[in-house]
Amino acid sequence: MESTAALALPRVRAFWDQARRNIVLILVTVFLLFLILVPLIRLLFSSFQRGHPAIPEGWTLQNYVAAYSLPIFYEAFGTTVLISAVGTFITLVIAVLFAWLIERTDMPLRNLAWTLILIPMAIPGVLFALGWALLLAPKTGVINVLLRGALDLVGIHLDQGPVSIYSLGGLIFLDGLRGVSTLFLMVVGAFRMMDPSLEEAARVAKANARGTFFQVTLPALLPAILTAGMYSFISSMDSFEAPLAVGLPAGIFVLATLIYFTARLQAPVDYGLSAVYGVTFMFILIFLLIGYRRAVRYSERFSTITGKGFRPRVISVGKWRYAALGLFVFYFLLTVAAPFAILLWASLLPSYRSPSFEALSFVSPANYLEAFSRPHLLSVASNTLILMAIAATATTVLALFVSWIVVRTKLRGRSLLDGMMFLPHSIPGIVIALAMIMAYLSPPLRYLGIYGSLWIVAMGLIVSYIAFGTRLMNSAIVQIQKELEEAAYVCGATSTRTLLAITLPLLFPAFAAGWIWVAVHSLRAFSIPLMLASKKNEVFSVLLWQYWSDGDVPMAATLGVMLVIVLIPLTLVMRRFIVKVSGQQD
Amino acid sequence: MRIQVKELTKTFEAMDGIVRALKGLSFEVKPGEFYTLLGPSGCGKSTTLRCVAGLERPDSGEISIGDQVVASANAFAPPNERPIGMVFQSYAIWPHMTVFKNVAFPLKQGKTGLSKAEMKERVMEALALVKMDELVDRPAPYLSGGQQQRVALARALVSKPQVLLLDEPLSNLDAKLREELRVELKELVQRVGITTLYVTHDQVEALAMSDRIAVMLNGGILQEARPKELYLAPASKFVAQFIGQVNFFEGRIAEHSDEGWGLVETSQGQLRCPLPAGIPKGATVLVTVRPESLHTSQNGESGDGNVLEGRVEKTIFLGDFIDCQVLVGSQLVRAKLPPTSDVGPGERLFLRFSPQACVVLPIRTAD
Ligand SMILES: Nc1ncnc2c1ncn2[C@@H]1O[C@H](COP(=O)(O)OP(=O)(O)OP(=O)(O)O)[C@@H](O)[C@H]1O
Ligand SMILES: [Mg+2]
Repeated sequence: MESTAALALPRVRAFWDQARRNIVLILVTVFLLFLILVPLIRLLFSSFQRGHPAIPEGWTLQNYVAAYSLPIFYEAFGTTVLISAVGTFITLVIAVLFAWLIERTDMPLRNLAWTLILIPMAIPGVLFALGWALLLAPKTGVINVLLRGALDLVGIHLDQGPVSIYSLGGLIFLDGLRGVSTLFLMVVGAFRMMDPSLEEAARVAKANARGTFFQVTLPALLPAILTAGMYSFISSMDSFEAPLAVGLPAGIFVLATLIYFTARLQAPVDYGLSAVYGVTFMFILIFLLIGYRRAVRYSERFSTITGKGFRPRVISVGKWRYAALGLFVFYFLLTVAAPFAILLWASLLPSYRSPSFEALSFVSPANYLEAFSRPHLLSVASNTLILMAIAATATTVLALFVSWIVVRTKLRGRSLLDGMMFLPHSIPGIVIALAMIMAYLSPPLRYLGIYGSLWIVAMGLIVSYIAFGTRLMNSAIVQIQKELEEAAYVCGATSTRTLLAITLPLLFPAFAAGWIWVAVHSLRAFSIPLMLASKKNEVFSVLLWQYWSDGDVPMAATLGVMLVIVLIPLTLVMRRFIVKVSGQQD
Repeated sequence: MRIQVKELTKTFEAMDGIVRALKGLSFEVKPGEFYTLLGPSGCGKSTTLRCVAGLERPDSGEISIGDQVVASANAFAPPNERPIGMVFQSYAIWPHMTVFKNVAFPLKQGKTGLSKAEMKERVMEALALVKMDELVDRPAPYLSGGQQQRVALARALVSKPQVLLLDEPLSNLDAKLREELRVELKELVQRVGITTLYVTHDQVEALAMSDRIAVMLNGGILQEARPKELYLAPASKFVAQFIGQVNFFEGRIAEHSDEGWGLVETSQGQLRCPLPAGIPKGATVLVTVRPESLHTSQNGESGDGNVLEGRVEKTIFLGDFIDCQVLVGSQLVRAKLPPTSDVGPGERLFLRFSPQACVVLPIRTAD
C-alpha cells in the first residue's frame, strides 16, 4: 500500500509538471486528433443513419443491407483487386528490371536515366490518363489512327480501334506504368546496399552471371521487392484518377470511383450508401496496411542488406547494353514523352484534331494567352497557391510539434498518438474527403461555415499528408542527438529557448524537405479537391478536369502543360531534399 | 562548492520491464575536490551525473549543491537553475554555430547583465584556458575530436559555474590524445579550483586524475577511497578485479597472530599474509596478489616471503613487461616480469612475493 502510494505520487506530479510545461504541444495534439478523428467517427455514424447527414432520420442497418446486396459493389471490388494485382505485377517487373539495369549494369547513360526515371512523378495521374486518352481513344486516338493506316495497307479496314484505352485493359496498362518511379526508389536502395560478397561467393562457386542473378541476387532482394509490391498494391487500390478519366466513361467502376459516383454524381446522391462504401474501403485498406507493416518488420529482420558504403560491382551485359537503353527510352516514351507531347499538341490547337501536316497550320499559342486573360483562371491559380502554402506550412508545423512529443517527451500515450498520426496513411483520399463532407455538412461543425471553402480542402490535405510529415519529423528529431538539447539546458537555457535556438535550426533541412514534399503533392492533389469542390474553392487540377468533362480539350491540355512545367523542377528539387534529410546517398 | 547526494534512487521503464538504475546511492564531494564515479557499463554512473545536473528527476533521495537543495521529495530545480557546467560524452557541440557562439551561449541565458565587450572577453578567456583562442570563428563541423572536447570544456567553464560535471569526456578520443588531455584536464581543473564530478569506466584514467574514487556496481557504491588506497587495499573481489589485474588464491586461515599476521592454507601451499581484524581462525578467505608483486626466484627457499612453484604456460612480450602465465598446481597465475627476464614456456620456476603485497578478503556469499 504505502510503497505504491510513494511510487504513484511523484508520477502524478511529474505528469502535471510535464503537462503544464507543454501546454502548446497539448493544444496542437488535441487539434490534430480532432481533425483526424471527428470526420472518421462522423462517417461511421452516417453509415448507420437514414437520410441526409445534416437531417438524419434515425438509425438503421439498411445502408449496409443495401450496399452489400448491390452487385455493383462486388463488381467494383473485384475490378479494383484485379487492376491492382495485375498492375502491381507489371509495375514491379519494370521497376526491378530498371533498378538492376541502372544500378548494377553498364547500361549507357545510367546517371541520366536515374534522373529521368523520376520525371513521371511530376505528371499528375489525371493528366497521364488524359494524355493516354488522347493517344488511344478508339476513334481519334493518334496511335489508333496510325495503326488503322498500317492495317489499311494490308487490306484490313476498320472504323475505329483496334485498341481502346476505355477498357479494363487500358486501366491495367495505366496502373502498371503509373507507380514505377516510386517502386524504383523503394527497391534501388536494396540493389545498391546489397552485400557484394553474396554475389562474389556465387561467382566463385562457378555460377554464371545469369545464374547468379536468379539464384542469388533476386532471392536475396526478395523481401525488399515483396514489401515494395505490397506497397504498390495498396496505392493501386487507392487510385482514383485513371478510373475516373477512362474507367467511368466505359462504365467500369472501382471502389474509389463508386464512392465518388454515389456521393457526388448520381442524382439524387446517396450519403448513407457512400458512407458504407467508404467505411468498407477504409477497413479493407487498414487491414492491408497492417499486413504491410508486419511484412516490413519481417523483411527488415531478415535483410541481407548491410549499411556498408561501398558500391557493388558493376556487371557487364555486353551488347545487351544497347537493348537495355532502348528499353528505357521506350519506357520513357510511354510514361512521359508521348502523353506530354500529345497534351502539348492539343494545347496549341483551337480545337482538338489528330497530329498531321495540315493541322500544323492551326498551331498557335492562343490558348495560353487566352488562359491568362480569363479572370476565373487567375482566381483558381491563386486558390491553388494559397492551398499549397497553407497545406505545406500547417502540415510541417503540426508534424513538428507532434513528433517532438512522440520522440522527446515522456508523456503517457505518446505511442498511441504516433499511431493515430499514421492512421490516415491507410485511408484513401476519397474516403477522407467523404468523411470531411459528412462532418462539416452536419451540425454542429456545419456552423463553422467552412464547407465548400478552401479551408476544408486544406484540412483534407493536412489529414492525408500528416502521416508522411510525422514520419519525416520523427526520424529527423531522432537524428538530432538528445545531448545537443541537454547541453543547452545545462548552459542555463529554458526549454522554449532551447527549442528556438538549438532544435529548430538543426531541423531546418527536414522542415524544408517536408514543406516541398507537401507543396508538390498539394499541387498535384486531385481526389480530395475534386470531392470537396465548390464554386469558391476550385484549384488547378479540378478546373482542368472540369474543362475536360465539358469537352474543352485544348483548354484542359493547356492547364495540364502549365502544371507539369511547374511540377518537374519542383519534383527534382524535392527528391534532392528528401535524400539529404533521410541520409540516403544519391 | 560541496555536492551532497543522499539515498538517491531512480528507476526507468524500459521496453522489457523496469530497470532499477540507482538503488540508494549516497556520497559527498568536498569543495574543490576531483571526485570520480568509476564502474562498468550500465552501473548507473551517467544516471547519477544526470540527476546532479537536473536532466533526470530522481524517484527519491536528496541532492544539494552548496547550500541549495536542488532535488528532493518536494523540490526540483531544472538544469538551468543549477550552478553547473557540464561536458557530455559526445561533446554536444552545436553544429549550426561557430566556436565563439557555442561558448558564448551560456552567457546569453537569463539576466547576466554582461555587455557585448565583456561577453567577448569572457569567451576569449575561456577559450584561452583550453588553448582554442585561435579558432574562435571556425564553424563547429570543422573541428577535430580533440578540439571539440576543448570547446565543450570552455563552454562548461565560461559562466564560472560552481560545479563541473564530466561524463566520460575522453572516451571518444584516440589513446595518445586521451593520455595528453588527461593531464591537461586535470591541471586545468586544479588551476580553476572547481569542484569536479567525473564519470568514467576507465580505471587508469580514474587513478591518474582523481582525488577520490567511488567504484560503482549495479546502482550502488562498492568502495570509496583515494586512488592509492583503492589499488593497494581493495575491499572486495570485484574492486580488486576492476582496478587492474589480480591473482586470487582461496584458502582457510590456519594461524592467526596478535600482530595482525597469519598463515592461510591454500591448495598452492601456505601463504603468509596480513590479516584484517575480526576474521576467526578457520574462516575461508581470498588472498589477492597483483601480478607486478610476483618475482622469479632461482630456488624454493621462502625466507620470510611466500613462494609458489610452477611451470610456465605462456609468455607474452608487451614491451615494458612480460606477461607470464604460470601453472601452479591447477591454477593459472599471472606475473608481470621485467622485459629482460629470460623465461620460456615449459620451464619450471619459483615465484616469490612478500607478505605485504597480499590482501586478504573475507569470502562473503555475495562474491
Ligand atoms: N532513459 C532510459 N530509459 C531506460 N533505461 C535507462 C535509461 N537511461 C539509463 N537506463 C538504464 O539504466 C542503467 C544505468 O544506465 P547509465 O547510463 O547510468 O549507465 P552508465 O554507468 O553510464 O554506463 P556507460 O558506461 O555504458 O555509459 C542501464 O541499465 C541503462 O540501460
Ligand atoms: Mg554513461
